[in-house]
Amino acid sequence: MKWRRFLVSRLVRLAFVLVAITTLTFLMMHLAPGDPARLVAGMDADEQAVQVARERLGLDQPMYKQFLDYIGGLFRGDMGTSFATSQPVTDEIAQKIGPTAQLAVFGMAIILLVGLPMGIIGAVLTRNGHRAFEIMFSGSTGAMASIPQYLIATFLAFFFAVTWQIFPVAGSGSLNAAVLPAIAIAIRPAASIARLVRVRTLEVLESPYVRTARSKRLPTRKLYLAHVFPNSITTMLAMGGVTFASLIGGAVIVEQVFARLGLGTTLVHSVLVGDYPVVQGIVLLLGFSVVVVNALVDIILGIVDPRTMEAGR
Amino acid sequence: MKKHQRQSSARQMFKAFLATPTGIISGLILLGLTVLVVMGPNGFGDQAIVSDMARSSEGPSADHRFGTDALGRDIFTRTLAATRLSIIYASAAVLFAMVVGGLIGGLIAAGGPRVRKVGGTVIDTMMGFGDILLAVVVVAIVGVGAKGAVLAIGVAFTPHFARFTYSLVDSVMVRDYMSAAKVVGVSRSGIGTRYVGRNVADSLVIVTFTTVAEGIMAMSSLSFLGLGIQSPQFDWGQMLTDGVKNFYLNPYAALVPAVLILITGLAVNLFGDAVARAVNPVLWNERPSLFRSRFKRSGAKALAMEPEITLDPGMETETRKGRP
Amino acid sequence: MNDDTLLDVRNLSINIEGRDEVPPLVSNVSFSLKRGEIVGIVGESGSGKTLTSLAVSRLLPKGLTMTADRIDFDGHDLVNGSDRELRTVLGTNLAMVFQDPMSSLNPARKIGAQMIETVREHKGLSKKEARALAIRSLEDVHITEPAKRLKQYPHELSGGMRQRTMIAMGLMGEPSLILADEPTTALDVTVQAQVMQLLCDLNDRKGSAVLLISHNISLLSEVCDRIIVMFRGEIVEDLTTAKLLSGPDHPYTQGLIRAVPDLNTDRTEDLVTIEDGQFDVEREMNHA
Repeated sequence: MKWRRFLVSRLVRLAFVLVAITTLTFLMMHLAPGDPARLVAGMDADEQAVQVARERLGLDQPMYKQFLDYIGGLFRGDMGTSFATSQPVTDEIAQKIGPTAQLAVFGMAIILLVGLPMGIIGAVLTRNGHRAFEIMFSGSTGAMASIPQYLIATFLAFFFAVTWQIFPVAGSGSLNAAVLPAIAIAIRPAASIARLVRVRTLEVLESPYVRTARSKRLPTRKLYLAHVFPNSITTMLAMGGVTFASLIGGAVIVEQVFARLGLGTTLVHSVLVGDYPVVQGIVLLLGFSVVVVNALVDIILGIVDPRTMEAGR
Repeated sequence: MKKHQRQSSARQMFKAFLATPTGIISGLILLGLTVLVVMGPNGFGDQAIVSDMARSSEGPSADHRFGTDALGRDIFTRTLAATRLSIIYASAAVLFAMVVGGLIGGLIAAGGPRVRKVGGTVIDTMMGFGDILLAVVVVAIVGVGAKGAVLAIGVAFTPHFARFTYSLVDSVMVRDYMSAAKVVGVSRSGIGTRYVGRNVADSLVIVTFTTVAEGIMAMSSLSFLGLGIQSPQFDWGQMLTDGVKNFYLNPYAALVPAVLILITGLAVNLFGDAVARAVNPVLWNERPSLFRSRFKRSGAKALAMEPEITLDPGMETETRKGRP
Repeated sequence: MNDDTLLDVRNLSINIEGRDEVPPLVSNVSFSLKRGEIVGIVGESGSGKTLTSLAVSRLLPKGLTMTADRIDFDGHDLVNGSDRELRTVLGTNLAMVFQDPMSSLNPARKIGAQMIETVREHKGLSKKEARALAIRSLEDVHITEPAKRLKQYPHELSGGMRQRTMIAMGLMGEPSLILADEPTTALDVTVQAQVMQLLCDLNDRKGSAVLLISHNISLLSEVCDRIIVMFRGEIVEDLTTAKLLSGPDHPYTQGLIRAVPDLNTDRTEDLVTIEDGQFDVEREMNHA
């Protein structure tokens, strides 16, 4: 029943946040300057055409009615219609989600396969007194963690695509084209994770319970597998939400560098042309995914490390 | 008397600051950047602004050290000229975030348990979105341009400052001298201003300063996306975007502003570290190194120590081991 | 050395690695322990008692090195033997109980998993056998509902229960020596008494010798056969409890006893302190 309380509290919070995001995205369009109806009707349309557009968009209705319609639409899978293309927003998103999802998955894989092991190896080598290594590690990960992703993307494109021509510089078609952008968005979060995991693992290695485990004279392999790694992994999990958000934010930017037609480029483009329904839809989707991932991470953490369940803020 | 103490230590602080090579170097870089900010876009003559289509996107040459951009403008001069807007807009955004975030954080910290819980959740959720997504949403509402970008980065950074202030106030509130102040009968507002305010303000100023580096990067990210500063104004981010478009022709059009962004960020961070070390006497004797290993020292020390003993507090491990 | 000797330490010194200019943290410590004996080591913070116990168990932290003429545990050479040779002996014959039961058990693993891993590793017991042994071991330390405890996490147990679990964990390997470093410091006074009582009981029933490290001289005098007094990395006196109570020879030990407040202590006066430089131990050490 401790479990149930924990789950329920997490789900309530999730619902609360989802409602808040939905409300905010709805308000976004109404807070924005300019008249959406005029945008749809065209800049030089006459007053009557604008009025027709306004009625078609439902903008003549009172605010609360519009909000209810918006929520109702969401439940039916209807996010409205793009001003620019007159296509349903859901179709627009469906067409563009592939490259972004691909980036997110690749990025996550890189973080898991590079960031985590680097942190653990870093800790073990530090503990064994490899001073030069430690300096190198702190320096390089520190630099990588503080360079913005579009700069990393630019440098990667310069060296690997332009100078050495190993990977294509742009496009979203082939898997090959996803390599550089995935590295570009993953480097920064991977470096932060490696740093964090290293510090945390060092703490674990010096902790009283690892001393207890050492006193049992288990083989090194078992000592690390059973007593050290689980705690390093918990650290990484706790960073999961932030990492995912950083991947999504990175995708918005990196897609631009590599000219990938994903949600990021579409979002930016829609903001520029004032295509609010698409902006709303994408923000809602990205926001939901970030929030849901955060909730999942919380729950997984509760399973892996039951203490966090009780600490739950 | 207190004032006197502070003054005499100011000289010591300055000395401690000068003792660190990174402090001097970063200070000099910042001085140079300040000069560039004062000069502004018009301080570099025509090369930075007037286009020369005959020499579009050239590689490095004798009269253009790093070549030209798509409109034939000298990359190097233009990058220097872009310093003013890049830095000023970023600073404005960070100041906004500090004021608004600091107030929100302070109010949450001062509030009751329910305010703290809800406030904490809201801040965490906002931070969960990531700066870029938040900023893009704000731009979508406020509109594209310099004003929108400053506000967007300001809003995106606000939850960070709110969280920082909130936990800072919290950590100050539980210190022993706070309880002591309450017991002695210092009034609530007295505690607020004299004790919490002073302690929080010091840290907030240093953090604000180093956050400017992140502000520059975030602002240039927005400009890079085309959502920030619009032509004819220009900043590093915007130059970077233009540079990327003509990457094959002259890569320096992107690399030069990128390197300047990096140098600025590094200088601000190093300077911030040096200042933090200078105002904290505990760190004066530490080896001033970027990559100092905290682990090694504390690790061996912690393990060589034994549980506190009550017989005599004057006789500690240090007397035995240390003794210079 | 006769057959009765379980642990024999000769001229143990501990230094900070690469810092020869600093005096050793522990210098030329020699003592021995008979089978079934309860011996206490008393001293202040930094007197080297914990380091001594860590050196004996070969768990000195990185950055510290030890030298010794000999450390013999149950016929095994702990100075020159390799980790591989000594694994089983140190893993089972020697049980360690550490100061802080809150952090000495791995918070992310169930009690059961932590208890059975030693005997599974060193004695090749099956999971089932090991669990049965764990349950018996928990019963030995008077923990109720042992089967249920195996499935719990450390944070679900009280401090006293955790410390008894630590002891039970050590008992799994049928140790001939229990090395307990401040086992009761982090506990309430009533729980302290229970844990001390338990250690004495186990000593009675199972014949395990106990090396008890503490700063609390009155606590040690109640349970120990013999007490070793350490001061600034050296043993200043090694005496029976009877001798300690009837009046020790060394002025430092006398000072230690005087410093313990009791009900008759005059509340209006400061507690007795031991002044720095009152004893010439350090001066002697620097001459050496």
